[in-house]
Amino acid sequence: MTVANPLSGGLPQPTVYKWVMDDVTEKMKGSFAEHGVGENILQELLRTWEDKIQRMTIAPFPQPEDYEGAYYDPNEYDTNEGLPYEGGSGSQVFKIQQNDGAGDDDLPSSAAMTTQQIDADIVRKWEEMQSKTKAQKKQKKIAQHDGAADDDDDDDDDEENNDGDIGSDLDDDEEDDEEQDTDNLVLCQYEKVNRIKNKWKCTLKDGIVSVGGKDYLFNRATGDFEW
Amino acid sequence: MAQYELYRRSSLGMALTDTLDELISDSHIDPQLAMKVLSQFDNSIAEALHSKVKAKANIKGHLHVYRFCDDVWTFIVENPQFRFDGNEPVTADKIKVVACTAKVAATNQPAAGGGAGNA
Repeated sequence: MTVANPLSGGLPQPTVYKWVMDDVTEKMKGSFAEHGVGENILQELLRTWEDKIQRMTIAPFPQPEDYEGAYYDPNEYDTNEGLPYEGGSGSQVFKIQQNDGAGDDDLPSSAAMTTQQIDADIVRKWEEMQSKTKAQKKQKKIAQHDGAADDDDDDDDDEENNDGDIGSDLDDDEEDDEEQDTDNLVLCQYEKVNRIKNKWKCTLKDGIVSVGGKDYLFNRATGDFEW
Repeated sequence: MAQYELYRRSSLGMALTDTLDELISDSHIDPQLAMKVLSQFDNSIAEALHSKVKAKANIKGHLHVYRFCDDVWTFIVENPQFRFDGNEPVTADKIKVVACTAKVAATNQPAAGGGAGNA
């Protein structure tokens, strides 16, 4: 097999990324079909995803050759056109699978929820999720460790008060501090986190390390920090 | 093996999210399908990190900020030094570590066992 990572037989990072992309694509085939979305769209998803990763120059990885054939004319295949977005008058109706658990039976009639409402709901959820992700990024602000000054936690306050009524320069510092961190990120799981006096020892696993625009993966890691 | 949305913040996850956004705005897919792709990504990346990656690493550095909230540890480490076994150390000014608990999937194992190996 691949000997590029002689360490312990694990796959090198680009191969792992490629594996994830292929795995996701492969396992989404069924769902795309259920949604009436052509497999060409799935192939485009894969291609765009790979493109983006390559452009990030996290690591080079081999471009599969069968890509040439994967190009398509979007107008020709765009099955989404058939979706009853505009009131469902089309005879070709793709059922939108419900998995929110509500159960339509409880409604007076299943017609009570129009496709528009369902669509709106889905769009809302998607946007919610997007804003949550953004909010998580904003959480940088929360790294407050002095215990006081809760008033300034509010985003709006911060922005409004930047001119400095409250003038807590703690906030500003903190923001600066954390601003730099977004580039360098370790996403992982912890098994143990121990502290003896100012020495911290962490047992971490399944991590993605992103440092200086490069990604590294680990199965297990130890963290030795002093505070 | 615990699965988290955590990894969506990785470069691989962000690239996927961007791609899905584009496909949605081009009306190629609907957001619901995009959500399914993301949750499949959660599964796939978890499996990959768990079973395809074998590298071991060590991180040293000065702990600038620590925080524990909702079972998530966040560390901000200054002047971290990474060692991925056998490779050159990697350094940075500062790094943020976000770690979810690994315990979720292991509730049926005795805690004292120390994780009997999975062959």
